[in-house]
This record gives sequence, structure tokens and C-alpha cells, in this order.
Amino acid sequence: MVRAAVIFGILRFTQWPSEKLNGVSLTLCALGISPTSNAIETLPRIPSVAKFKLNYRHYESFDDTQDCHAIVLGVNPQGQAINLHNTLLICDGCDDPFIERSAIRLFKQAKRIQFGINLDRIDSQGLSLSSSLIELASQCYSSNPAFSGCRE
Amino acid sequence: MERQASLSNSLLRASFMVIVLSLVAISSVFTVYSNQKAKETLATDLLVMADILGNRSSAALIFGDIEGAQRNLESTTFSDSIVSACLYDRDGTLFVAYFAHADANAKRCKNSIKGSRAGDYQYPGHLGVVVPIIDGSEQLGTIVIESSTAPIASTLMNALATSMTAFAVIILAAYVILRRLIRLTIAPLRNLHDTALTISINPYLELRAERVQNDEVGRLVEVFNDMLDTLGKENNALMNSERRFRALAENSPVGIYQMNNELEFIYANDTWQKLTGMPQHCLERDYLKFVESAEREELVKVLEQVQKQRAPQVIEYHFKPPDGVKSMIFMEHIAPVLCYNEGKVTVDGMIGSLLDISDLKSAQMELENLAFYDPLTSLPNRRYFRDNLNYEVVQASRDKTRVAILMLDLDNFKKVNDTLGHDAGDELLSVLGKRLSAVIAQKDLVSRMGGDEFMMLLRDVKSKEEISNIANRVLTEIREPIIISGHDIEVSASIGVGIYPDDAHTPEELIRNADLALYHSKEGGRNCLSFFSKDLQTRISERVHLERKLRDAIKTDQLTFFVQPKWSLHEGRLISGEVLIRWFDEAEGPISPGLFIPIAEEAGLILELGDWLLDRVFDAIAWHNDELKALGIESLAINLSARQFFSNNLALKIESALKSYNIDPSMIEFELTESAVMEDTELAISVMHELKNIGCRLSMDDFGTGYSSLSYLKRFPLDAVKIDQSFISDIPQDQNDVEISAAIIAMGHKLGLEVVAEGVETQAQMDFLVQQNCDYAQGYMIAKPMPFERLFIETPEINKDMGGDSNMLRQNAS
Repeated sequence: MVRAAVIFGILRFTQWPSEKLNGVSLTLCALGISPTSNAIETLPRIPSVAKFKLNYRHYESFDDTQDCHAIVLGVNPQGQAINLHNTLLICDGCDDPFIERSAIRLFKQAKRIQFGINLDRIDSQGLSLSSSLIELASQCYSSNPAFSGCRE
Repeated sequence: MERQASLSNSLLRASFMVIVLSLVAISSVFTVYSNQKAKETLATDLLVMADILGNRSSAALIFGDIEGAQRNLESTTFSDSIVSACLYDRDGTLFVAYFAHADANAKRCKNSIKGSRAGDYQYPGHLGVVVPIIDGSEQLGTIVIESSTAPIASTLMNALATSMTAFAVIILAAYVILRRLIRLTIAPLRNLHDTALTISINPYLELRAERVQNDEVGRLVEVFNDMLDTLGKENNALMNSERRFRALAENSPVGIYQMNNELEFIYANDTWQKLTGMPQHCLERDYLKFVESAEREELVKVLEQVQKQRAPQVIEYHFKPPDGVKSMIFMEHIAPVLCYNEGKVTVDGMIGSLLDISDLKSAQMELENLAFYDPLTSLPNRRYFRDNLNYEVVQASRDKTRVAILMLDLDNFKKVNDTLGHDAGDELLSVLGKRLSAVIAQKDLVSRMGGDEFMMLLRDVKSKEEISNIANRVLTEIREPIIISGHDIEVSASIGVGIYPDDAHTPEELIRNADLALYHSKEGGRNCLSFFSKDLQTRISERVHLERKLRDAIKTDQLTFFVQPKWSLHEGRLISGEVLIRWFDEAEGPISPGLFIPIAEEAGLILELGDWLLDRVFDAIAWHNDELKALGIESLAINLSARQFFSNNLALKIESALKSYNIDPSMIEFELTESAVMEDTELAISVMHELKNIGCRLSMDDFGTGYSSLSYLKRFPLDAVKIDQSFISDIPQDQNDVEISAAIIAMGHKLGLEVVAEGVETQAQMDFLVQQNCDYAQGYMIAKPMPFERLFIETPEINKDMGGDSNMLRQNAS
């Protein structure tokens, strides 16, 4: 449940380009098996995220994720990870090479669910994150030396 | 000595107070405003900070990241004033709290703020904000940040201290600047003051204040200078006026003085000093010593009145100067000198003028004398008498007593004047005046009314007898001979008496009735006394009645004339006739000429009557000229009254009438009475000559009854004299009359005059006249007066009857 809350929180502090948004809803997709998808699927209802209605989809392959705004990557997602521009990839127990391709990676540390952010990925995916989120991230990476928002 | 206030100091103080008060006010307002503003700013800052922190903590709230949230809250350490930051989750439960430093007064974060409203709050020394953390439309939580307001206070105190320092500097600078400015501003006022001070010491200076600038002070200076100009002009005018007054006072012929309220003379001109003989500065009480004692009190009273009533007064009094010989009469006009001060009027002394009216008073008395006294006799005059009579009548009416007036007229006074001259006449009047005064009692009054008329007023008379006694004494005194210019003069008087209230009710009526009584005395032969009586009044009424009728008779031609023929003793025929006027009244019958002729003379109708008669006679002659000539009537004689004789242009009038009627002047003879011509002998001679020059005949009627002197008789251009019938009527019984008549006839003949005897009624008288060689006779024996027309019938018969007798008489006489 905490993972789900973290995911929902991440989605709240993520900004997609206007052409990706339809103004009404966000689609959260899960690929593969992840603790987050398991948690979300146990929820009686999917909460809204900020002003957006959140739709949840659990797909098996990347081929079905064209409409996803965010994809939680678990274990063994199928298909080619292509056409993922403007899509937030969140790794929650995913394997390589998806770890490098994910913008955010959830992990558990000291009995707490934490997350790391790859700002370069965020930028390449045409997304932006709230600084608040960045501050909360346990890990933060950016190739831009001018950016000093990350704690690490 | 009263401490003098300084305008500059006052201005400085006032300015300072204003500046200080302004600064205090400004700083107070600024402080309060700043405080409020600082709090608002703080609140705003807190709100912003809360908003930022809230936003930044929203992720921590979402993610439940207490550490993250704590870290966020700890970022408030940059602000020294923030004492705590409390983050609450969406349920209002405290999520994380932060306390900046130990602040005993700061409140701890509540564990729950459920139900709290967003906004700011305060409690002493602290200010806090409650801000919900909203993400989209979802409230994620609430953040409460609290700040201490101590820094604000500290800042304000610093600001105040800085302000005070600045104020002190400003005030000092202001003092210096204001002082200088005020001095500069006041300088023109100071100059104005100095000028005014100098002018107040000497108002006549031409000094004026300097106008520096064209501001209010400059305009004030201008107005002040204008005022000084006006003052200067008024001072000049005043000085000129004072000079004029001084010149007037110094050169005035009237004494002028000024006295203060203590009655001390503080100014007196030379005239006053000369008049009074007193020094210029003296006291009124010293002056009073030389005022007549009986009049001093009055003068003092007048001075008091002037002061009390604040009105001028005039007084006359006698004054004898210290070195003077005789007393003078002064007229003094005293007026108060009034001062007007703050709406009140006070008396500041008196000013007076003094005039010596001694001569004026003498003249006044003399005029009074002239007004009330006769200058010739020194007796009271008509006006005095009338005033006294009016008074005595009132008194008599009130006291029920009697008052009598005696109206006295000298008989034939004119003759004395004409004979001896006016000076002698005046002396006669003067002597008689003294005699009358001596005869009359002190309580009674004698006055000269004018001419030869005197009036006497007898007060409180008891009886007619008393009046008669007095009147007779008067007549006796008057008759006493008087020697004037060496001549022995004897005169008499006629007196008429009127008594109040018996004979009249008013003074005017009394005088009128006394006059009537006098007239009666005159009529009665003069030198006598007559009392007014009702009969007299009746007679007067009758006379008035007759007068009225006579006027009508003249107008309506009711009169006529008779002719009494004259017999020529030499020719034994009627040769002429005397015209006699007749009046036959329709109601009353024939009215005697003896009655109506005097009335005509008194009523002023005699001239009219005379003219009427002339006209009628001339007309008759003109119509019957031939008949008259045939009868042998050579002329008709017409009586001329004295008034007619002496009227203007008589001769011209007669000449004109004769020519008009074409009558030979020799046909007209004018008979003049002896008394008439003696009224004015010189004029009479002149008129006679005029008439003679026309060609008329002149004869003197009633000869022997007047007192004409023979010297005049020889000068009169007469043709005949008529012996009065009084000398004929007693012939031959009265030898005196015989002698007189004979003498008149002889004298007349000696003077070349014809002599006519009037009133011949008897043969003896006729014989006498024939014997004396008288020329003409007239009388009842020859013929009575007859109507003119009867003349033509009677004349031949008379000639026939008388003709034989006369022949016989002449024969006997020869």
C-alpha cells in the first residue's frame, strides 16, 4: 500500500507535456509483476491524482502501453520498450536494461520505501518533476552539473 | 517694568511647537503604521513561507516522509523571527513540528488543528499563520508557522531612535534656519515699529517706513505710510486751523477765554484782558470779586449749568474792572468743551466770549425810550398808552372798577404853528406836556398821541364828577398863558371822555367813543369837556346812516342846488346869486346842509360833493346862459370847502370845466370862508391867484368870524368880502354890530373890495346898508334861496318889487 501511495505521489508531482494529456485522466500501467501492481490491484478503488482521474491497466507487453502515462515496470515485462516518449517509467523490481531506462526506481531501505530519480531520463522522456519530489528522492542523478537539486 | 514680548521668539516657539508636534505626530503615525505594516509584512511573509513550505511539504505529506517534512520545516531557520512551524496532515493531525529556538512564550504545536480556520492570528509578542496545503483541489494538510514579533519591535525601536536622532538634527537645523528666516521676515516689521515709535514721539516728522518687499508686510508698510500721509495732512490742517483760530482769537474785538474744570482761566486773549483788567491766568473766584454782588450768584449758577447740561449759556452782568472807574455791562457766552473718548462724552473745561455791551444797552434803553416815549414832551407815547390801557381794562374788568380816558385836542394849534413857527409850536407842546403831567395824579397816565393830541388815563375813577374836576383842572391849566419866543400864547383844548365799562367793552371802543365825545366838544365850540353818551352814539349812528344815504344821493343824483339872489344896492337889482346845495330825501324829506355838509367833510365826501356841484352849476349856466344874461344875473357864487380849495390842481380842474361848458369865467364867483383860507394862508394866496388868473371872482364868506390878520387880508386877491349874518342880524339894535359892520364895509372899500351883507331880513338893516354904502345885500328880505329854475321867474318880480324901494332908499341916503 505504501508503494502504491508512493507511486500515486510520484504521479502527482510529475508533469507530462500537454499533448500527452487528455486533460481528464492519467493512465497508470503496470507491466510485469511488481509489488506496486499487486498493491494497486488490491485497492478497492483507484484514487485520483491531483485533478486527474487515474486509470490503472495491467499489461503484459509494451505493445499495449501507448496510452500509458506512467508504467510501473515489474519483473518480465514483454515486448519492445519503444515509443515510450512522454511516458514515465518507474522501476519497481524491474530487471536490467529497464532499470537504466526507468526515470524512477523504487527500492526499500531501512524498512522504508524510497525512490531514486534519473533526471536525465526524465528529460529524455519529455517529462518534468516537482522539486518537492526531487527533494524527497533518496537518490538523484543528473548529468547537468548546474543542477544541484538532488541530495546526492 | 512690564516684560516686552518678542514676536520673533513667539514665532520661533510657535514654529518649533508645530515642527515638534508635527514630527511627533508623523513619527507616531509612522511608528504605528510601520508596526502595522511590519506585522502585515510579517504575516504576508509567513503566508508566503507557509505556502512555499506547504508546497514543498506536500510531497512529504503525500509520501509520509517525516524526515523530508522535518527538513523542510527546518529551512525556516533562515528567519530569526520564526519560532515554530507545525505541519499537519489532511486530518489535521500534527505530522511534524519545528521549533526554531527556545521561546518560553511561544505556544507548542497543537496535536490537532481540526476545525481551525486558515488565516493569521496573534497573541502578545507573536504572530502566526495557518495555511492549508492544497494540491489541485485536494487539501493535503495544513502548515502553521509562528513568528515572534520581537524583531519588529526591535526594528521599530531602532527606527524610533534613528527618528529621534534625525528629529533632533532637524529641530536644530530648523531652529537655526527659522531664527534667521523670522529675523529676516520680522525686519520690515521692526523697521515699521521703529518708524511708528519715532512718529509717536514727534507726529510732525516727514519720516516714512521702508517698504522692502511686495508681500503682506510690504502692503502693511504701504498702508502705514498712507496713514502717515493722511495724518500729516490732517496735522497740517489742524496746525493751520490752530493758527487761524489763534489769529482770530488774538485779533478778535471780542474777549475770548478758556477755562478748565477747576474754573481757572488757562487762556485769555488781549481783548479779554483789556476789558476785564484781569491777568490771563486767574481764578474765577478772583474774577467774581469784580462782578456786581447781586449778579455773582447768577454767574456761578450759569457756569454750573454749562458743566452739568453740557450746553451753552448766555448771561449779562455788570462788571467793574479793578482799575476801572465805572461799571460796564458784559454779555458773556459760555460753552462747554466736550471730549469724546470711547463713546463717552466728558466736559473738559469751558470756552467763552465776552462783549462790552454798555453802549448797546444805552442805545437799547434809548430806543426803548423812543419806542415808548415822546421825544418832544418826554411823555409816554401812543404805544405806551395803548399797552397800559389794555392792561388797565383787564384789571378793571377783574376788579370791577372803572377806568376813564380823556382825549384832549388843542384848539386851533395849527394857527400857532403857522403864526409863530413850528419851533414855537413844539415848545408850546412841551410846556403843556409838563403842565398835564403836573395836574394828573401819579397813579394816572398822561401821554402824547401825536400832533396836538393828548390822552389821559384815569385809574379807578369813582364818579363823573371826579372826572369832570380833573378835566376842568386840565382845561384851566392849558388856558394859562404861556410865553414863547417873547409871545404871550393862550390856547384852549377840547376834551372828550370815555368811561369803561359804562361807555365801552373794549379799549378800542373806549377810544372811539372818547373821540366821538371830543368831536362833540369841538362841535360845541371847543374849550370844553364832553362825556360820551348813548345819545351821542345815537347821533353818531344817525350820522353814519346819513353818510350812507349821502353817498347814495351823490351817486344817484338826488341832490340839487338852490340859488339865493344877491341884490345890488347900487344898481337896485338882482345881480348875482349864491349857489346853495340842497338835499331832499325821499323818505326823510329835506335834510339841512348844516347837517350833511359836515358829514360830507368828515366822511371825505366833500370833494365829491364839490365836484358834483361845480358840474351841475356849470351845466345849468351853460344851458341858461342867455336867460341869465337877459335877467341881468352876472354871476353865480359857489362855496368852496377848505378841502376842495386846497385840493390838487383845483384851478386846472375848474379851468378845464369852464372850457368844457363854454362858460365865461367871470360868471363864476368862488366863496371862501375866512377860517378855511387861514388854515394855510400862503397856499391859499397861491390858489386864489390861480383862480383869479382863470378869470373867476373870489369873495371871503363869513368875514369877521375868523381871526385872519389884516396883513393877510391885503394879500388875498379877493373881489369881495361877505359880512357874516351874525353882524347884520342885530342891526340896528346892537350898536357893536352896527360899528363892526360899518367898519368892515369901510375897510373893505379901503382895500378895494366889494362888500356883501348876508342875512338881511329887515328894512332897517337894508337902510343901514344903504347908508353905509354897502355894495350888495343877501337875505330873506330880498329873496329866500330858490330852485335855479325859479330864478328866471322870481328875478323879474323881485327886481320890480325891490327896484322902487331901492330907489327911494338911495335917494334918502344921498
